[in-house]
Amino acid sequence: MTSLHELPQRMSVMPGASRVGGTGPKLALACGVIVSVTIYLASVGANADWQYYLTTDECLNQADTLIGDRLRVSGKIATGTLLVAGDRRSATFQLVGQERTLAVTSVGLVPDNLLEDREVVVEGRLENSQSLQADKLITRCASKYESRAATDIVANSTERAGPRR
Amino acid sequence: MTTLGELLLLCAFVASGYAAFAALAADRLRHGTLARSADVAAMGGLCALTGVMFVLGWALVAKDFRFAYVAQYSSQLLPWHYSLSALWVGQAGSLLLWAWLVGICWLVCRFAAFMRASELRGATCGYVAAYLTFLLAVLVFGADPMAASAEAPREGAGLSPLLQHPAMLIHPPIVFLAYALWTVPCALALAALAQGRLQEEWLEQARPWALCAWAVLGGGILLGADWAYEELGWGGYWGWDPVENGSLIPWLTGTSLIHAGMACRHRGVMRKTTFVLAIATFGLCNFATFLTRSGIFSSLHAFSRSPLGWMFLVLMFALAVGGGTLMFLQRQNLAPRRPFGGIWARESLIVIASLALWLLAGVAFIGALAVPLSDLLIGRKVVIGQAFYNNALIPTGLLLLLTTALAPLTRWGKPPSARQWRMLRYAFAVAVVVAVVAGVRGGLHPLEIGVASCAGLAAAAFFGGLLLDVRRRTPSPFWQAAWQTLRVGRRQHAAFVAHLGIVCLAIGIAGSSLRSRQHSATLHIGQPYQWEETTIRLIGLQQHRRADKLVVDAELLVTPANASPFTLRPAQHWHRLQREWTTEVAIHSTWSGDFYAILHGNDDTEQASLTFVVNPLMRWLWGGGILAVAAAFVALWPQRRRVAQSASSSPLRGPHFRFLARRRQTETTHG
Repeated sequence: MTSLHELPQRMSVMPGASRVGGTGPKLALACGVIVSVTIYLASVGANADWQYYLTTDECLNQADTLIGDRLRVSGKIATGTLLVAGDRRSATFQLVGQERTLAVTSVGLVPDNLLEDREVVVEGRLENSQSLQADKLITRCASKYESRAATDIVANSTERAGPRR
Repeated sequence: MTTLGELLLLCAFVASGYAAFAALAADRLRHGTLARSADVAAMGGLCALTGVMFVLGWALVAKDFRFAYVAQYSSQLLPWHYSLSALWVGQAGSLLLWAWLVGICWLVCRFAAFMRASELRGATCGYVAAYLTFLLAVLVFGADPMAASAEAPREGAGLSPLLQHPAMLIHPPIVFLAYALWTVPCALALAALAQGRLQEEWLEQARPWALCAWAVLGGGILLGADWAYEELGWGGYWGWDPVENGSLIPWLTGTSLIHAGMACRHRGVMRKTTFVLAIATFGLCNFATFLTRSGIFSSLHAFSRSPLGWMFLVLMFALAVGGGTLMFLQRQNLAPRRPFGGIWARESLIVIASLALWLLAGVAFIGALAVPLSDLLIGRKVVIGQAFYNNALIPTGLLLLLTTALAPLTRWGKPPSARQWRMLRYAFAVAVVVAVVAGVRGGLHPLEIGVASCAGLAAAAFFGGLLLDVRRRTPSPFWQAAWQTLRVGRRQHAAFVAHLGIVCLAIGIAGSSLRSRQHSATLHIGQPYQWEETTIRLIGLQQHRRADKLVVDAELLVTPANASPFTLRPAQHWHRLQREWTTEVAIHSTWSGDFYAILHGNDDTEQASLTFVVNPLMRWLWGGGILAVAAAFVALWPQRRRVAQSASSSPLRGPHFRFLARRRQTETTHG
């Protein structure tokens, strides 16, 4: 028996079926309206809610033009500068870049894995050319896909700080 | 052992590379011996890869720190099950698991009964083996899981405490299984395009793979959300993080593929779309991997800065160029075979629903790539906030819910019948009543009213459609007719139940997003604290020492105004090895909502700092997701032998005709 696969492909296409009939324009119009409305609403949302994403050095180099703006700044928490309130609802630390340092005061829940010498992204307003008032801290989970070197861990494995009290 | 592992990995790479080449060449040249050699090579490669999995798994459980990977992700105090889960936590281990799962997919593709009759099987296996070779090349040249430690340490770095959660035991393998499963529909599409076999045979064979991948990926995303909700301790489950977006996008395009595939099989429309979606969904799985491994984002999740991400980008580029070229060459043969049956026909609804899904995927895609895209376009890095997602997703999501709700009362190729129209009017009346009741009750957000109305419409349309099907079976007794309807139309009704699950999910998302309330307070032992209409009393604070951590927990007695009191124990864990605190939240869950308690710390032994979150309708979210996934597996279950027999007894032969015969039978049943 002849398999349909052996027939020329064009034979299986019904005459005139390449057009989508009278439904086509209606469907196209509906799709056009849906896409236009979504793009419009998305652009309104994007215009209303966006922030610059900067490194610590970029933020400090452009500080004069950014004061008062909401920003997202990435950097590393300087060793020996992290102070977390006992109720874990505020923290202060120095954010270091390649060359410069930004003072950060954060109000809001402090993530568990906010630790010194870890990369962090802070979100908030630049108060002046030296400090940023943050309301959101985004930390990286250091052991997913990229681990701290085992030797570092072993070297630091003696407990230096007691439990949170 | 590391040397043995290295050798096995190398064998697997060489064998799968040969298998891919030989399978594709044998398919082209119709060379039986070459095809058999490809099978032998692929089987050998899979055995070697399984050996690598065993070696690494054993090393993790036995805490053999001579393996650099084990030293990085395990420790002496880590329980064996979390130690084993480190297999898919690290870069190399997760890629190894993914490669092994692709190998298993090759095995099923090669030997499963439902693929046996396929003319496309040889080429499909070749493409799957080619992808397996790519993953193994990444392992051999970029992320070697068998690498030896320069000097074996006495103790490993251990697993991040955040990842020591039951959901994390199964979430990553499930997501990687889904990514592996999406390989086969793409391979089938490429094989069909390359061979010019553009009938619906490839779709019929891709259907179980796509449906299984959809359900598994959906389950994986749900587990990931559950992990974020329970482990990260911020009261939410979705943060529009690039990693979350990365797995959501292929799920959305995969949903569209399953529906476009049905439209193509039933009506011969959306033929180009199905090919594009099969290739794009697989490509987007690799895009998700690119997001996590390239280091171009800062995110809640950790990202490596290895060159591996860029290897996946090259693969995506090759896939786009290859798939695009094949599509271009076959463009003449991919025209629709029948016209659409009107704007109210089911295939038209699928077009609109697919558009909504693509828009959702597009929004998530742009959100994920906002930083590098803005850097490229305007020279400044810009992050887009929640308003962008909400503005775009709310109307699109409501449109998707509406099309989902209407599906049971539509037909292929025709507008609804007179009976279906009558039932649709009743369903819309139910939706209006629900909206009016919700509006009169007051205090509800318009989105909540919209979702409630769509839910009413969906439930009424589901039961209305079922009733119409049952009535067709009269004069059989009602329950017998109902059973027959559900049994014969199992796939279709399971799909409608999955739709109901998605509606429940939307109810949960709307409720928990719009009505979530949060309050922070410092509680003193024994003193009642009033928040809204709930009285919370701190009973006491306890401290327990365990081998690997110190546990501090607070016992709370919560007494809501109109419900029974319950006890919660939020805690803080101090992990000695990682020198990190983790928050262990306590959740009391009911169908009306979750009461979520977070312990932040205790300044002294008499008081504790806590945050309380009320997240309404969370059970609807989890329940809806589970219902949708379970329904997909019910739809996936093979048809009964009797149906298959009657299909094979048709004078038409071949898989395509078996499908036609089966469809004819279904159409006879369902009109």
